[in-house]
Amino acid sequence: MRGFRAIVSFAAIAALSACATTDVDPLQADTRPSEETDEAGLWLRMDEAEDLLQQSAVVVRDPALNAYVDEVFCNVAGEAYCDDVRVYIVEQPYFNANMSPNGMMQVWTGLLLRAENEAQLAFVLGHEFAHYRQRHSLEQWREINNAANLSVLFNVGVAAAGVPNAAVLGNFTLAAQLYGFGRDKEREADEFGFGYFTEAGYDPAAAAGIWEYLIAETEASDSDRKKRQIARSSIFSTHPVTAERVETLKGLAGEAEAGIENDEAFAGAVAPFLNDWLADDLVLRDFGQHLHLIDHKIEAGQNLGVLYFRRGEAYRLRREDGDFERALDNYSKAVLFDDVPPQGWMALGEALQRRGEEMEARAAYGKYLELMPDAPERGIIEAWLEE
Amino acid sequence: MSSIAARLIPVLAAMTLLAACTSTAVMETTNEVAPLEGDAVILLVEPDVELSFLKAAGVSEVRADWTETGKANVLAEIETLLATRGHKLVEHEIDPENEREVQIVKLHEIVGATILSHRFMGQPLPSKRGKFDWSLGPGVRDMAEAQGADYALFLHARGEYASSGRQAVAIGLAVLGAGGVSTGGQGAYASLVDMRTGDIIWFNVAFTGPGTDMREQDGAEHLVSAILKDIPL
Amino acid sequence: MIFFIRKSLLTVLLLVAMSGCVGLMPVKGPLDVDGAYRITLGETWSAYPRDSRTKLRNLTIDGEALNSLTFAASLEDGHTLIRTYDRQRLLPVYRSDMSQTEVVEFIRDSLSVGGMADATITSLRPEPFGALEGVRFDVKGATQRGLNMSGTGKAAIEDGKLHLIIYTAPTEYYFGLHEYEVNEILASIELL
Repeated sequence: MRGFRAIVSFAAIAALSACATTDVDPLQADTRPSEETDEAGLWLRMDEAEDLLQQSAVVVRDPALNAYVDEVFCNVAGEAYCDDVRVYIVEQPYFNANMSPNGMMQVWTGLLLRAENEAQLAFVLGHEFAHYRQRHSLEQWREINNAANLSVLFNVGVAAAGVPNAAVLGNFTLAAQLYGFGRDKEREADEFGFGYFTEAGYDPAAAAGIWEYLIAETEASDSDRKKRQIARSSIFSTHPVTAERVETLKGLAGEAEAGIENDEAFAGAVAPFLNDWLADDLVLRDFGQHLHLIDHKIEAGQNLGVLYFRRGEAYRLRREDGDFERALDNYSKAVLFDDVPPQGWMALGEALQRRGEEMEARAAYGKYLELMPDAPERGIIEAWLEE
Repeated sequence: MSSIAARLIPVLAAMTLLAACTSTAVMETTNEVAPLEGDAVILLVEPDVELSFLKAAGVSEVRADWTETGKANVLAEIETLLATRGHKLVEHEIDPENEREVQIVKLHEIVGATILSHRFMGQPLPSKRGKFDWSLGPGVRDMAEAQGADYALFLHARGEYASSGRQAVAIGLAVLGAGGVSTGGQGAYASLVDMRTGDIIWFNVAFTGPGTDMREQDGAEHLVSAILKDIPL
Repeated sequence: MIFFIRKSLLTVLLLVAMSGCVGLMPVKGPLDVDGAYRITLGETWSAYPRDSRTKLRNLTIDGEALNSLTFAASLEDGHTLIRTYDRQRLLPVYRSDMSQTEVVEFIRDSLSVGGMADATITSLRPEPFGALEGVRFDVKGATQRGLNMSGTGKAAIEDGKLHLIIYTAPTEYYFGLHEYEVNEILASIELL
């Protein structure tokens, strides 16, 4: 009987092992796959996902910001591909950008918050564009299919031979494929992305620069797990080991000419959102990373009203020894600047009230209510003021 | 557009498929329903249909061409069925600029998922005992106005069709003593909303076994008659 | 790439849903909350079992996504409202020295971590929580999918421990549907 089963299993493997080619040509501009292809099915699913995204509550629709990011993308992708890709800015505090095979790109606000200049943003957009242009999703999809077919075959074949728990081994390799694009494609996207963005005139050092910043920020994290993630190079990580990436990108930059960073245009585009995006980041409660980010931005010397306010908020919530004093100190600095958000006055009032400095607290609250007629906290503040 | 509940359908379909028969579950409102005056205008709100290719490993791949065909067949059958009863079906595309409409449609997705999870999948709500009174509220009148609609019909349908590779695996594993591998199927749920009150006056879930295929005209007819069973029109 | 494994996750969800392992009980009238305070329900609600980790209780009438009354009593310093088995996860926590504004900020941030998009407090005002000085607040936001949500709630600190009640529902139709009942419930709070 065992001999018979072994024959069945090998026959099954032979019958099911027809694989689709995984090496595909780059995408031409202004094309859609024809309807009966697997690629068309993938696009359809992504079109649905795009409909969902468009209707969702997390898309940032500000026209000026979108126009700016679109312009940077078009610089990098070139005229021919400019209209094929739709860039969505998504309000999520994590550093992330991703590309779907139908031309939908997402750039998360956590990334816009951390990029130091336009050149760094351009590199990331170029990297994502490379995934699209090289049709990595399709290649990945076909690889998964082949791997999936093989893992089922593995089940059938091995079950016949009497090995228990073979399913676990099969799923292991399949799962590795499912986590992002895999390291080969990420390397390819880095290489092509580097090419696109330097051809557009951006400074080559920015490519390594953005990763160097991220490594530094992550090293400041409150979470041990996050700090370990950078160094880990298990087969499940979605990107190649970051230190290796930095070296590769530095190597490429070494051979290339200097270019523009455009930090002023970038800073101007992002400034109106700084307060909101930092507030979103603080919800994550990683004070180490958050304070590192704010301190780094303070060094640039702009938007200090917002930045000192946000730093005060971080200390207030962190509540380690001496943090209430630090919070008050930062709020006091913040209100010296024109760009301090009105909430800065309220935060100052609360901090003074906590210290028992009632006169000063009254003044700060009064200023807040004057600046914000619709202040949500009006009821609470006025009740205290009347006491 | 895809919805939370619609994604449950292939799984539900797979689980009922072993019996290889068509099952339905019709629910009707316990609210008072104003009687229909004359021939109804029924808004068919952007039907959500997706047909996929179920491959050997259980990975399903959406097929754009099958989806187009299945959607067209199902719509044609619905139109025919309702026309024979003297009603007019108007296909309605959601206007993304119309905030009210967008909210109503999103609300319906949640209500549909709620009905599926508490009435069909058996975790009943004691607070709804003896009642089926889910509604989208009178805000639906905004949507109804432009077309003079009396009712709106919402439809979500999914189909998964096994590759020949998958069937070989199913047979292989059965021979080796491991059963229960899905070979695909179709499922749908539909609701009828009274556009005067927003009440969901009728709701149905239908699954069909393999061999009845909405990519074919007769398969679509079978599925539609199952979905629209006992619709009060 | 998540949609490739979506199907197996849903199978698990389905099995859990069908196993009937979560018992929904009817509740009406007076309801004692962990011996700290009592609320009085005018209508019949469906109650989920109390979550032992978060100490949160959840009631609904039409289904948890359509209306949700969530409440807890005597939460201690360091407590999180987020259900997680991950002890290393960094989360908003309650601190016993929080001001009323900070308590409401803690609730808002928890809603945000819990998945509410654009969670915004629109109003805070003093209101009694039984015999305690409490804070009443209104919140608005949306599901990730874009369905607008509205909410209202009350919180108070007693001996350094937090009591809170919050009601959320879709803005379209459902928030208004039980608004009267919810206001009655919030007014009915009695300390025990």
